Amino acid sequence: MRAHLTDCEMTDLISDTVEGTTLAHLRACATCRTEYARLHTAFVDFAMDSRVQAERTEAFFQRQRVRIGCRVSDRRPFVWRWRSVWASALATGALVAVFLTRGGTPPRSPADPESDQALLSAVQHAIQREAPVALSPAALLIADMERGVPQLDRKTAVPKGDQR
Amino acid sequence: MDAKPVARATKYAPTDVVRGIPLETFDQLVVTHQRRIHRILLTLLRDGDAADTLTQEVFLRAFQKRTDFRGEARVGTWLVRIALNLAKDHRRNRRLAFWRRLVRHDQSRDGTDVAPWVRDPAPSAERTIVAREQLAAIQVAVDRLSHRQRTCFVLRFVEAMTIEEIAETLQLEIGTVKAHLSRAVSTLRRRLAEREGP
Repeated sequence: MRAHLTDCEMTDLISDTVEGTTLAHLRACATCRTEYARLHTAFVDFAMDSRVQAERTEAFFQRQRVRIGCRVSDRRPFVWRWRSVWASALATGALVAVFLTRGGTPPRSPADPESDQALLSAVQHAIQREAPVALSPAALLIADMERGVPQLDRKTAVPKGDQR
Repeated sequence: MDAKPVARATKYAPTDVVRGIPLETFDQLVVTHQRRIHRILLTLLRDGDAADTLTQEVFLRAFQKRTDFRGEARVGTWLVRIALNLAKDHRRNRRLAFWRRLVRHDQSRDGTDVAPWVRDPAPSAERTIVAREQLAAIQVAVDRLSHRQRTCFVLRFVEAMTIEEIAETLQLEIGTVKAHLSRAVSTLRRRLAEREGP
């Protein structure tokens, strides 16, 4: 007589996918029959209990369907809400990009040519001056001296008519 | 002894094979499959609240992915696959939570006590205290199987799926599914024998 059933053969037996040789052994071997009965009972009990435990009332499944429906419908506006957020962010980003791109060359106002012209005139005037602005009083004094005007303390100088 | 298969209750409807899931049929999809999905999750997790929440999550994900469904598998197989992935993630998170509690020296229940989940049997002759203890023992033993072995075992013996259906659902070879089942039965045999003694 062959050895007892292997785990694989016992699995096939319980799964009802058994071969003829296994059945023949089972008929002849009391030990394997006992083992098979023990396992089969345990697995049937487990399967039946799992099914009994999972039994719920129709109201339970109805509530579950309602919750699924709520979550599904909640998900749609959620998606749309995020779509609008993304759209806003993209629009803002595009504006910022445009602003930054044009930031390298500052916008010219219509008065710019005039101000440029004024600046150019001021520069030309400064260059053509004989003395720098800071030395203008000295230049005037020198000019007076060259014309023979007596040197006076300008701060204390009094017109001739007023001298008594 | 009755040598019939353990259970053959659930079968797929031939109309399950579709390409994409039309929105208008989604409600019917939930009605058709929610009990089975809930049962699989409850058997794998032994947590009623988690099974309820994850069942909702399965259909929510199915809704989000409904246009991606290519009809290569049955709708039922596809939903079971989603449920198994969620159950796997949930168990992993629960295990992490267990270790976190352990680190915090929390002495509260760690979730391994199956007694509350074991059905309180009707006071009949066929349901004795011994049978209840044996049931609790096999539940503990199944719970300690690896994820693959437990999944194969539950799909085969509770859901009565064929080896081919399990292979399709788990995207495994048929030989691999058989090997997982064989190892699961071997482990359960050994643990039941240890409990019963010599």
